[in-house]
Amino acid sequence: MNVNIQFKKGVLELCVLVLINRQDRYGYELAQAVSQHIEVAEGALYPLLRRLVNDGYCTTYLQESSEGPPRKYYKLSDTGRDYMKTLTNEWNGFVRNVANLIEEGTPNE
Amino acid sequence: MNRQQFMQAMEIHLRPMDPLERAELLADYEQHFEMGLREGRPEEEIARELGHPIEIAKEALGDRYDAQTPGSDPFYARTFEEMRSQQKKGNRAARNFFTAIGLFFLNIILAIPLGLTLWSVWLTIASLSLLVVAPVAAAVDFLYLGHFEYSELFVSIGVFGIGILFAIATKRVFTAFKLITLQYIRWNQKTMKGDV
Repeated sequence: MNVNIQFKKGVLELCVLVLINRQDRYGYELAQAVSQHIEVAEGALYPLLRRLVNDGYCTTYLQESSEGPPRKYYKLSDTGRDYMKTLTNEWNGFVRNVANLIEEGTPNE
Repeated sequence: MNRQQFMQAMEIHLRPMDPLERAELLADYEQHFEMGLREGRPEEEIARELGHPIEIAKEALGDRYDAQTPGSDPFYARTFEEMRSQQKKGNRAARNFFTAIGLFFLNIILAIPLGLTLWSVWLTIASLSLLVVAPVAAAVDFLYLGHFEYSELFVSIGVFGIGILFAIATKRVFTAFKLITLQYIRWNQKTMKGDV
């Protein structure tokens, strides 16, 4: 269970980058979108977003909404897009390798 | 855990964070609650989905999280000294502004006219010391104009003496006024720096 949490934490960054790449999003929306696929503590999302902004992978802007206060939208920067591509490639390779390893490791079953 | 409890816990556990950064992060969570409530979801559910404040704070603080830091202790309260130093910082800008205005008027209305008066007194004394050239005038009178009177000789010698006295006074007064002026300028600088 605890191991699973560590997995999720590691992968959360990639998920968020991919989601923002598809379209600019605000925090609550991102939390909902991530939760649809993986069960995470949504609270961890905000420090992560802050880190992405500090590292220059994301920028923010405020946009008025018809209901409630203006929303803080997150937008992927060019370096963020490069970073996302690198992470995606690494992730795919990693997953493939682990899958191969598991398959090779259990030939008798 | 309801919204208020969650926010209070976050506030406490995020204490090691820079105040501005902390305020922004807390505002993010406030907004998260606002939007969740707008969708008609109960506070408790939103808080549960966000996760446990301590875990989130650990995540947010990274290396800065430390069980020994004041922020990680829910019973931690700021000391008098910490509160005072923070207040000092906040007041400094305003204080500097008013000090500058005060000094400006003090200087315009009082110090500069007074200083100019002092120094024009000195200039008068200094110019009186020019009396030392009186014998030269007498000599010129005698050599070039051929005009000679004993009284003129004696008066010029007397005036020469007075000129010397004024010259000495000029030097003394200059030293004294210089001291006063420099001290006043130094006091101005110290007041601006806030040392007084």
